[in-house]
Amino acid sequence: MTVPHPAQAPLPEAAWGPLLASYVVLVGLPSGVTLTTWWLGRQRLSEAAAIDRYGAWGAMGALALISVLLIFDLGRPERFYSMITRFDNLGSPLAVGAKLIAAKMFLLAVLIYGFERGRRSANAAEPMAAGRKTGSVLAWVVVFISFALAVYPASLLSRSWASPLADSSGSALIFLITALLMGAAAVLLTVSVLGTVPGTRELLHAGRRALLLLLGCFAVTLLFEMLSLAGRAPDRLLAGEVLTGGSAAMFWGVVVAGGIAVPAVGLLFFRTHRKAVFVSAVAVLAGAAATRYLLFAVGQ
Amino acid sequence: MARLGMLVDLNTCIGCHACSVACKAEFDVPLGVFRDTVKYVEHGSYPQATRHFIPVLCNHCEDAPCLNACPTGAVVRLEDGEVTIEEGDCNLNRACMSACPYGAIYVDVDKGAAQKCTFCTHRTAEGRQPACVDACPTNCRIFGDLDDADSAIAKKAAANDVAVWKESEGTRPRVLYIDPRNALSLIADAGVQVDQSVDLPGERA
Amino acid sequence: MLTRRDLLRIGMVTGAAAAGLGAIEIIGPVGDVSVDPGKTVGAVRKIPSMCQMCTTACGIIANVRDGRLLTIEGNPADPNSQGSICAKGVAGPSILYDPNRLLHPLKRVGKRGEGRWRRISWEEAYTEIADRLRVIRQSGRPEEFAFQQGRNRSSDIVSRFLNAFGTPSAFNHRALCSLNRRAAILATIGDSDWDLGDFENSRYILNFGCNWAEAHQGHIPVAIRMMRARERNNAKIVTFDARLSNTAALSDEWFCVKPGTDGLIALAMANVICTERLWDKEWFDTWSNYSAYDYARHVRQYTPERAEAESGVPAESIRRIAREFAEAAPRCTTICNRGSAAHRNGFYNDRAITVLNALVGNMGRVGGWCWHPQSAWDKKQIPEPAPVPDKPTARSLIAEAKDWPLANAWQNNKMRVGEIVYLWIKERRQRISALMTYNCDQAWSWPEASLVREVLADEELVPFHVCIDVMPSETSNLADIVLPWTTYLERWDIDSRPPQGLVDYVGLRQPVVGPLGESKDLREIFPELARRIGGGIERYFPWRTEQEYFEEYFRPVPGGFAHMRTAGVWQDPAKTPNYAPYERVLSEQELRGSETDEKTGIIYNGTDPKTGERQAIGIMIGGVARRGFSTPSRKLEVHSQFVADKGSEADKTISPLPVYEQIPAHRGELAEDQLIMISFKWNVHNAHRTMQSKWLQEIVHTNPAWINTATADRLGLRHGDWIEVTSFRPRDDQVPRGDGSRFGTLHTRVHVTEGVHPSVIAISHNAGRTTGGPVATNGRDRAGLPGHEPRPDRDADQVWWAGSLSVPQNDILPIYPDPVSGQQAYHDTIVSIRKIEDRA
Repeated sequence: MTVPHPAQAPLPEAAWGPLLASYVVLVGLPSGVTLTTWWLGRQRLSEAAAIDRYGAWGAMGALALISVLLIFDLGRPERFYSMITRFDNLGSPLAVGAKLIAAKMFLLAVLIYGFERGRRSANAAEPMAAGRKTGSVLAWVVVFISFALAVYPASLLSRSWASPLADSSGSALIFLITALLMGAAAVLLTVSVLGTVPGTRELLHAGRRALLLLLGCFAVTLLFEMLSLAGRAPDRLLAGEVLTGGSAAMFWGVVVAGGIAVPAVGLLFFRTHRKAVFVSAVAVLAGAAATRYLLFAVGQ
Repeated sequence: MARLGMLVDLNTCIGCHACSVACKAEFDVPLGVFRDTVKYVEHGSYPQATRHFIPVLCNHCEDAPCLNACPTGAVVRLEDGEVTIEEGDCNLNRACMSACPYGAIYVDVDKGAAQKCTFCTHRTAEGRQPACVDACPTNCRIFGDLDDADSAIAKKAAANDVAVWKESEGTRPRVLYIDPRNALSLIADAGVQVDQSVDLPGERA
Repeated sequence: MLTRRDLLRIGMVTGAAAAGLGAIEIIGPVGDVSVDPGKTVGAVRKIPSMCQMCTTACGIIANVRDGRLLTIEGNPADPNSQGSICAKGVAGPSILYDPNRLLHPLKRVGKRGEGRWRRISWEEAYTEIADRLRVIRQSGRPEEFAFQQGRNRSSDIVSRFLNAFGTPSAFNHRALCSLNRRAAILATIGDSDWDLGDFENSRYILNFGCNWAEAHQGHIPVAIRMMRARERNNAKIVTFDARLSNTAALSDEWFCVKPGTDGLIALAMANVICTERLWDKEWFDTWSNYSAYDYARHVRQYTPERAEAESGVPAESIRRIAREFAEAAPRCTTICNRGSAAHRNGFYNDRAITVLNALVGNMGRVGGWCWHPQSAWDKKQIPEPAPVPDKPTARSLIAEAKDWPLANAWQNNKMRVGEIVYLWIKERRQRISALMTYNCDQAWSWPEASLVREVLADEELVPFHVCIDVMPSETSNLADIVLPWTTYLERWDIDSRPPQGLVDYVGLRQPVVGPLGESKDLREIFPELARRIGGGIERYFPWRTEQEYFEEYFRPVPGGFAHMRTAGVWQDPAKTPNYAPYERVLSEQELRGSETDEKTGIIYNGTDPKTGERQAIGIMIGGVARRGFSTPSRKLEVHSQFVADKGSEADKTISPLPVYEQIPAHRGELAEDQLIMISFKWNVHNAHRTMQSKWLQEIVHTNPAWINTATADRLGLRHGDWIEVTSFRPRDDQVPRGDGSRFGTLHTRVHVTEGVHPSVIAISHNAGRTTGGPVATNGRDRAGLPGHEPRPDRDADQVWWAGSLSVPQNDILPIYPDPVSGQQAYHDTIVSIRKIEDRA
């Protein structure tokens, strides 16, 4: 008897292609950047203000990029705004996600305006207490939205017959952890490239610790994800595709070896050696991106 | 307020495709995409082999995944339960297509919108039958109000065992089948759209 | 000055206007429809007409808005199709608006077949054709003008022109179609050449190789009644076929038989019914010309075991089915068609099947095996408008085809042996000076199509060739002048089919839109040619317009032409279904002046106007004067001396009784690599015309060879493998060139299936065209039409099946007429299969 394939294909070709795959992969980056920089900014480091400011700019840039991807993926890009302006269907993950992206971009713009104005007037009068309080509230809101956007691809893809893996138990957690990994890796990568910026050492130390912690969590999550997939026959087929099937090369090569083993070795043995950090960060980015891609594509 | 549905009696479907072509003609559906078609499935071993004919179309599900997935509100449920797509509200994000387990929705390049079976609302508004129902030579399709106990569809549904396509999806289709030979189970992996990859090329390799 | 053509146009417009006022229902828009995408909303004119996508001619209603045909639906008033039509019927608009349609007359430049054309005016075309034909007629050899028709639903105008011209060289495709079945039925019952099982009221239907769910001359009218029988009577349908057709798939039981053994199975069933006394002996002894015991003795040789050995159907199944069939009598019937008839032994097969019905006494009974004397409308009630030209006195050797004694044996059923026409032209048996091809693509659809092409390309054998068709074809490529024909949606006809409801009717085909481009119908072309040829032909065409002609034609119908234009169809309410017509007691009036033959009981009255012999009108049965059957014995002829005598006249032996005669080449074991090639038709296709439809081609556009899984394993073939199919002529001294030699080869690919007999390779013939535009040819022909302005074609680039396999089976099908009748044996050719390794 043949086991029915879990990924039934009602359409000859999946409705979502490479552009949306890129979106799903990259939508984690701005969330990760925001959450990482927010956490670093609260580690009593000397350059906290700069971290917040760079974080806001970085997240804004990444959001702009993924917005472009999302818009260009539409068959009718000129009508992209209806995903933001229409409130008839808040049950649609895509509708919620688009609105969250728009909201985050707006809030980031406000924050950046505040940062830039504050920077110019840093030597003059004391920043107003009210403004600082508002900024702090806004930053918290941005953090929550970022968290939401980190998790949301799981709900988006779980609705699609073409992404059955996104419907598994570990999916949301993996999306969250990979978003954080991408954010942390992006920050470390930037720092390792910039090099001479004041506070680099502190940042490298903090970032390294965070990344190692996340990598450990990531490895454990992947392990339990595979265990959960080993239960039912249709799920086993999916796990098989990841572990031994068409996606095995990407999983073992890019995710496990590149995304976990290489950075773990790099960060554990070479500590804050700049080149090691650089290589480790790139490897983490690749591994996290590949993981997210697999959640999108396996079973199609 | 009715609960419009369709009942397809696979006992009397002769697989003639009049429904599919009537649908093409009614909506000038572009080549390569389908709102309605007839699946042919061969089953069994010689000499007991047979072929099943299963007309398929949008199920206008009670719990319609397309409706729930559309971020722009373009997929709507009309008063009598038909699930339709408002062309003007569609920005072709294809969330509905990704969500529909029946492959009933396609991209209409001419219209720049996702399209699918409408249960022929324009015809039923005039008191006529959907084009596929009208075209069926053996009347194997009955269209009507599932909630009206006196309707032909409700009576036939009550008098027979009825099945739905991909019941495990939990969509609660409003397209019902009388399926004595359990043919629906043979298309559990398929969708409305025609698989164009099965043709054998005729050119020399 | 007004020309004749202008007059016709004016007539057409006024006719349409009158119809619009009086006849055609206008549907007003209801509700807010502005956002609805559907097309048939709002003010739509509904025009009744008749389909001609195939030959079933179902009643249709065309939905037309602003002069554009939107959709087609069935006409519920049609008593045959009762409002139902098939996919082909629904696809009408795609044929009408086919961007590859011919719209202007063309004349070849350069050599014939070279493909270079010049657009000409109708004036030029008429002049040249009329000049040619006039010379032929004046030469005193009118038979040198040959007319080749495919499916002709305008037989009145065609016969009128050909008879007026004086040519008997009217070639049809009957021998490629239904000749054997017709001959078998005529020999048995005489009344008709077509059985019309009363399926609707039946409880048991035995189907011998008829694919009524996809094809058959009664396609939809049969299918709807079969399904009704299943729903209402819980009828059982049993099919014998060498291939899992859709009909076989729909049946309660399908028995896969070796081709050409259907008759043996029927005889074995007769054996069971006789042996077990399940017969209606009283009926058989009363109404047939052979005693039940004698027939039992005759069929004793055909045991179920013998039938199993040859057909592959288990003897036990044959016994069981025979018992079930007899048990259901008289509400049981058979249906058969090309699966039983299109064989070298098809005449006998269908005789055996027909007589099986007589044995259980279901003939003419409610739910039984019925028929109707009218194959179309009642021509006594609705006669052709005078003056009607006499039949030609000239003779045509090819049309008479005397080598096949049963082809033209029956007075009113001239059945030409179509497949030998081009062979005989090539052999110069009859000189042809001009050939007119009408709605026929013989260069693609005829057996040995390669020979047809060779003959048509030879300007010596066929000095002048005019092709009239809707679209360019393999045949029009080999013409000198191509005339753009109107589709069935742009022209007039009187038409109807053998009535499945057993009451005859008449229908009207009328233009639902004006003719596109410069296309014209025969009803306009022939009168104009007649006028130009002159010499008295023109007096048979006194009507100024087609409407005038049909006004006269339909005068006997209550309400006349106007009624026909509104309703599309008329059936005489006084008529009753033709059940058991043989039992009808003759009236005193009929018997007045009659005489009865003491020995035979046959009642004669008057003389037959055609033969001059005394005319039989009935037979004494149990002391009562009844109508009987229109056979020489006035009884159902189990034993037909008539066919035996016809055979003797042509030095051929024809058994007067139904027998099984094995197909010579199928004797014994076939070689390892040999299979029997059969052909089949898909439900969405008919002839060359349907391949023009984008909607139909989109559904079926490819024809790989069906081979049984076990056979494929034996030959080392997998799905998709390329094979070389080599055909052989029959080794059969009763067949022209029957020397068993290698004939043709075809390269195609394998479709492995459980749905075909292991000794069979089945290839559908609805493919393999190389001309007709990208839709029809799977993208091969993108040349565009010569002499035509390029037409916008939204779909030209959307032909997603471009490049799919599409091969012409007819190119390797040898000419193979049944020696007694001339029916082409479509399903008997032996082929050898070779895998082509370097083609993977």
